[in-house]
Amino acid sequence: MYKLFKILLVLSISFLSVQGSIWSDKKNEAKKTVNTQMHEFISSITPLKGLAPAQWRVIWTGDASTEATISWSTADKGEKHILHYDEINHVNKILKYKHHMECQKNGQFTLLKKEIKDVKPAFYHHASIKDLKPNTKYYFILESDGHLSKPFYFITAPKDGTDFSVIHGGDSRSGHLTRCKMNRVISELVESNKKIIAFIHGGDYIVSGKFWKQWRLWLSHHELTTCADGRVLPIIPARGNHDGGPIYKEVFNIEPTQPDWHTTTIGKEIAVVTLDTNVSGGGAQSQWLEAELKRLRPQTKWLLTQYHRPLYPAVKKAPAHTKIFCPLFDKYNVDLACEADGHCIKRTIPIRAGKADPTGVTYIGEGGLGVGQRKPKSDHWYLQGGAVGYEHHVMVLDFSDVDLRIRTILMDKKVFDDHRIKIRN
Amino acid sequence: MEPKAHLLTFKINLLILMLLVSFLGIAKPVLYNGGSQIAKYVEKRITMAMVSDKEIETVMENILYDEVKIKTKVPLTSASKVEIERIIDYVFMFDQVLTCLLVFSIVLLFFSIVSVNIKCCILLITVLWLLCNATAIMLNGGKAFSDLTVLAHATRWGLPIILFWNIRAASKISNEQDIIGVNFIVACCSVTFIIHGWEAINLNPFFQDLLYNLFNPIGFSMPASVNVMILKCIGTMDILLAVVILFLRRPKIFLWMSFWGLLTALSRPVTLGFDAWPEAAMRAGNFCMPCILYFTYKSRKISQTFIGN
Repeated sequence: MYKLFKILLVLSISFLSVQGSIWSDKKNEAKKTVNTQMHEFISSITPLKGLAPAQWRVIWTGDASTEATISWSTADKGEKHILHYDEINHVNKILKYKHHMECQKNGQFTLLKKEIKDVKPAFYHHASIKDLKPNTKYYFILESDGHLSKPFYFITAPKDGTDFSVIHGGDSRSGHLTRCKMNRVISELVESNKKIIAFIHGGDYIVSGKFWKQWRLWLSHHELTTCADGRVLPIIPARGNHDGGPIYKEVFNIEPTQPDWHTTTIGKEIAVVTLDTNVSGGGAQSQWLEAELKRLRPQTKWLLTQYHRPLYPAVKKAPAHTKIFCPLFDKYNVDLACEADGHCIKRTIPIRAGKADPTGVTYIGEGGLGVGQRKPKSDHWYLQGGAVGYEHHVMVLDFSDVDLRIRTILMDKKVFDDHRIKIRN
Repeated sequence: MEPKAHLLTFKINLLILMLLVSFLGIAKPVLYNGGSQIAKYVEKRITMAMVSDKEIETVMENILYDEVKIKTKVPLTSASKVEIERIIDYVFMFDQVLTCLLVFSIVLLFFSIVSVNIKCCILLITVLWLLCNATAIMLNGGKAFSDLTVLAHATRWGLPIILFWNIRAASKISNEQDIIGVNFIVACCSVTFIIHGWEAINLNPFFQDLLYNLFNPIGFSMPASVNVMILKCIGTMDILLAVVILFLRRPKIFLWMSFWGLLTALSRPVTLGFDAWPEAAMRAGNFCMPCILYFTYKSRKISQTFIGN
């Protein structure tokens, strides 16, 4: 018996060392310089130095036809941070812009004690604008104590109608170069398809949400989603399980006491209900969800939900939220649920009451914005007839009055999956 | 057989059975749900190393944030997707093989033909694996209270330690040795109950949803305030029990702890469906350890020879 155990031990050690040497060999074999690629990305990103406005983002967490939050960061605190915006492009002649709004909220991004020594502080500036005109180009320029950004623009959501698209993706927490590439893919998709009006991010922006050091890199990389002509794609954020801590709210202008669930209405006919799978699904959240779905379902043509942890997962096990959220999705006929977390491509068959049902909810995901991909378990019943894969990807959702087209686009812009959901009667 | 030896054999067999049940619960997700936490951690590190994440981060920080950490250019490499995949496949294959070997080894513990030394080696490897897995959960993060995992899993990794202790002591048990062993079980139970109690008081979202899901099927929509109140009560009870057993060791207290451990373990498959049976199985230590204490202290009344005074 002792001999058998010794043999097993020796075998295990040999196996480990063989694998180790294979890994090392392959790593050496695989060496190819990525310096050029990386420096090309760096040259497109605004350094976070002094009072130069950097890390700009447009955030949608309410009525996307008339409201938006425009945010940016500076390395120094500064005194006055102003957003200049107008329907006409005045490039950098700030006095010509019709609207000049001082940021309502400014503050320092939270630094952990262990970061204070090595990481420089930075400051967020949020300007929440209201009473915008639907389906309108808004040109804007950011000013921090006289330091100006490049001129940008974003387009508000149409008041009604469904002739537009959104991008859904998640999990950009590691794989910095791939994250930059995927952000580039997003900007190129928007440049080639002007109908894309928003970017739904399913969470896990970074590895550990408590570290500003990690957030600042994500925010800088997010600049790469900006189109060459200065178009900024508004982001609809959801909190992932790696995004714990106060910085998430500081980045996306959410009040510290406010929960991370919210509804973004894109015109009258499309609504995206964002949920938080990091807190209890029951109680306050399920009550809010039910009230929102009840309010939204009759008036919206396409009712979407988004959250981080998949309720019908392709890799991991289902969370406790499945039993709470899914009955409500079924009751109010949610059309599409956008998920992340699994690091793979997934599209389920329509599901109702835990069974395959053509009238049910389709669940898509599960995050491929940079993070290493995992092999999905394709033998799940709900994936038979759906789609699974493991490639970096985004999903483009094309809305219309008759159907919702879901295209999974890979990093090389090849279409991995093209599926249509018919509108409910 | 002497009562002392008889009880010890019973205790050892019960511990092996519980260790097997617990490990099967841990092994199921390793084999069918994406690997152990150790493998996931290794996967993450390897993937990040193979795409030079750290180096890229350093260069970017240097340029974008003016934080001069490197003076020369770092040579960067990036492995292809296929190469990364191949290595990751090996990691998960090794993870599965190791887990299967551990399950097989734990089964061997039942057989008296296996020498004490081999049994002890198996148990030490099991403890090491369980401790590494708990540490990996902590390092992987992304879960509420994941920083407390190593302590919260005290009854899981404590189970093979106490088994190791008992097997070593089986042939030459002394009162002193057994008292240390019993104290170790008490410490494991106490730590696990304190951490779970702390999580309950701080409203662990998973615990909250367990409660909601427990009552939803019978049509009772539990108000949030009731949910909070119940969890706070449970948390307080857990912490009180954890503290009380350090000073007052009564069989009835251990019996209650064992029952409570069983109930909370079973609440997973009850609320999440039978597929969640590994969640209950891997918590075998939570009811087994207090159960051992119950029998130990109950037998103390019957036979003073078992653990001495």
